Amino acid sequence: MVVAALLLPLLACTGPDSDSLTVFAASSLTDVLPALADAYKAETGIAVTAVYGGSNHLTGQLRDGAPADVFLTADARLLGRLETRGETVDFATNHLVVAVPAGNPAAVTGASDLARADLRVVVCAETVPCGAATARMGIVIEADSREISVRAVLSRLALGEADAGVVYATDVAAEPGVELAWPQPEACPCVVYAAAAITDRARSFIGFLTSPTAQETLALHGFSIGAPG
Amino acid sequence: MTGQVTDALRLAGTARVGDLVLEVDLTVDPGETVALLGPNGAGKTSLLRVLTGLLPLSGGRLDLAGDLVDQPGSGTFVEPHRRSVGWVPQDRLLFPHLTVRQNIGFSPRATAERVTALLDALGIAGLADRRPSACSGGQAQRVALARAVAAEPAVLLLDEPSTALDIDSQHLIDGLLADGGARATVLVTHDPVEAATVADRLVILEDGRVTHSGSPTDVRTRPRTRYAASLAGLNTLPAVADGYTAMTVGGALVVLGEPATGPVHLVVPPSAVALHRTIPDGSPRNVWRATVAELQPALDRIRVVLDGPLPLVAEVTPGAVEVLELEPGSRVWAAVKATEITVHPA
Amino acid sequence: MRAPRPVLAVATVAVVFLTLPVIGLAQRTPWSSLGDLLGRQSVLQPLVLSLTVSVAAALVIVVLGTPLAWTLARVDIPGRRIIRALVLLPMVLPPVVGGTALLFALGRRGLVGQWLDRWFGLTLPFTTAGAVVAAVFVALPFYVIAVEGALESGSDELEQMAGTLGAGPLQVLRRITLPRLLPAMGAGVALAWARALGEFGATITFAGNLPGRTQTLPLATFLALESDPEEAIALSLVMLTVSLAVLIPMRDRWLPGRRPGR
Repeated sequence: MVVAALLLPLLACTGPDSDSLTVFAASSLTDVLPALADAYKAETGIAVTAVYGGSNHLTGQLRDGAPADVFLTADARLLGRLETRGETVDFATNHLVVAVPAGNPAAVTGASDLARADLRVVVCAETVPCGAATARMGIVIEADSREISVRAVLSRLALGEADAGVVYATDVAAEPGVELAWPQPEACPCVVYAAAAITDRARSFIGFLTSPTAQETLALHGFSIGAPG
Repeated sequence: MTGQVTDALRLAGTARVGDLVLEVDLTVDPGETVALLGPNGAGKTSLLRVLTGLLPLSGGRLDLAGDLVDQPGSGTFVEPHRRSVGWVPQDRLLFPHLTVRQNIGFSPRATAERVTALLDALGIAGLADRRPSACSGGQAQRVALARAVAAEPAVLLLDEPSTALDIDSQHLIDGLLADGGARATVLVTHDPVEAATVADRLVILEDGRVTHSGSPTDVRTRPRTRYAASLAGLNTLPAVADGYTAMTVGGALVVLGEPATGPVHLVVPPSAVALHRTIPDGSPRNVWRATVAELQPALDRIRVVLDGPLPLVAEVTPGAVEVLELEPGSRVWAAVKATEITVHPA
Repeated sequence: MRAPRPVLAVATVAVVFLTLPVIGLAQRTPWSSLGDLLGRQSVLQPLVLSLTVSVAAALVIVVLGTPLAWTLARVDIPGRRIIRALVLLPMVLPPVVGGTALLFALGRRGLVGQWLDRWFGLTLPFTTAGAVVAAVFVALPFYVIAVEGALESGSDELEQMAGTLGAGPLQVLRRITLPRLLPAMGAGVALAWARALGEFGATITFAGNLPGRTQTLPLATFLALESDPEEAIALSLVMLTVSLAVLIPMRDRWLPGRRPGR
């Protein structure tokens, strides 16, 4: 009884708050989601609380009962482990690029440089969607670290701790300290973002993501819109 | 007498310990044993710490075996580990993680032969491979002494060595101390009997200063302070003097042999208190009524403890007790000649 | 001594709270396939690396921490209080913050790290040495506190005694101070080693994650949790077993103040 009394105030009150939505999002959406949330709020008056992370990690949390309304994942296959409401919508795509710190201090010029042992190359871990996609790129990479989220890779590049790394095109667009190693056209392997509703309240947000406003915002941030070509 | 013999210890200096200021002039000859007595807080342990080097002087100088070891004025200070001083503190400080043998042989200057010899001499050979925790109080004392002596120090310092000792330990320790050769020994003790029997000289330390330095007989017969007097078993009475008379706290008027003023301590040897059945006439001008409280036999004398306006202890022969029919409760007259009273300023 | 019932009740709750996760782990363990799982390279490699890194960190910690603890306890230097607080800093900093701070200091473009790189070609991130550095950073305070505590509570009378017997400062250190300090040093090493073994945030932020080089057991477990839960369980069991195997014997014998054998 003492135990119950002590724990009661700590039990999360996860009752839905009709004025806000909780969105679990792949970390590569860190820069675009706030803009989308602002637009959504302007339209509907509903605020959006975002939680970012590696898609795998977030899936695990959702399976354990984390109180989210929407899941924006970079790997649709993960949805197979979850119970969702209604249909899943693919709302954007992202492709990988080889990036370097601003100024390209190690003078990386081609894919073959990534195999050099003397360069510090950082990629995503294969368990994360970005890492799985990196593996499908078909380049030989001598990685010095396999980070648990694409943001971590980006930060290594931005800090200058790594000489080259594989990140999303949108990340390069958003981070001034990082640039493309060489001109790289948009090409797959790419990542398709799927939006799934965990609760019923989420459906309107899912619908919003395919609206012209949302798609414009996504395009502005460097995402490719619609289904992959 | 100026000799070529170097003093084992020559101290003329001051040191500060908290509120106490130690100001001591002390010289000890090789082979001499000095007993250091004094009330609690007088600075006896601090004086020992000055000699070991654990407490530096603030002024003056200290020479050990002819070498200058401490002189603040010239910036000279020899660290404890470079001095030839053996120290047996009150709480012994044996190393708990070492065996008895390792303890005794700890000093780099101790040799294995010497350690074995000491183990035998002090009767603790059986404990050689045990830890100090397995030793009794007396045994631990012997180990501590052996450890200090194994390094063959020029000066040996003992702090209250006889507290809680059994007879065997006492004998063995006395034997070792007597066999010191040119080693000087300074022994701190509370027990005047021990001081008298073991030491060549008594030094009394009171409030950081030396108030006496002499043979035990000197101290007993001519005590210069109240503490010294109480050591010697003398009567001391607090009083307020005004010229040739003094009023004790008990309200008795005492006629003095020497003038004094203000708060004083009157010292009266027990043998100077004469007891009478009837009021005496003659020269004593200090005569008071008293009641016998107790009779204490002491060797060939009887100490008579008296109650009254002047609480005194008198010392008489057994014959006198018989003649005067003294017993607890008896009423007597006690008389003391003014000239037998020594006056000390309080 | 018989404890009053309420005290016992709360103590029971505390014990249950601590052991429940372990029981949960044991309950999910695929005992039949455990043998296979434990033989996998993906389990053995992080294990070997973790042991290497944590032991190396423990050694560095003893070498760096003992003089530091001694100085803090025995030497009267100005600003001692501030230094003491700084020593506790890694305990208070969230490990990821610690790792990031290490990056800013010792990374390739870091305050000191850039000179290490330019003059010696030495970089710490992405190396096993970097993982050791991260572990030392977070675990050092545990050791220093244990040893400093023992030095402070014991007085230096025995050392003074040894001095009067003729032993010089180094001798005193070697023959009196250190032997008596061993129990506290042992307890400190055990605590620091355990902390180093479990270190995650600072390691992944500073040293990165590469199997065989910087992927310690905690990192491997975190990654396995999403991709291969059975492997994650096996890794967790390995960590648990290794930790218990070292800590249980030590706790009873070497925690300062405790008489052995109770």
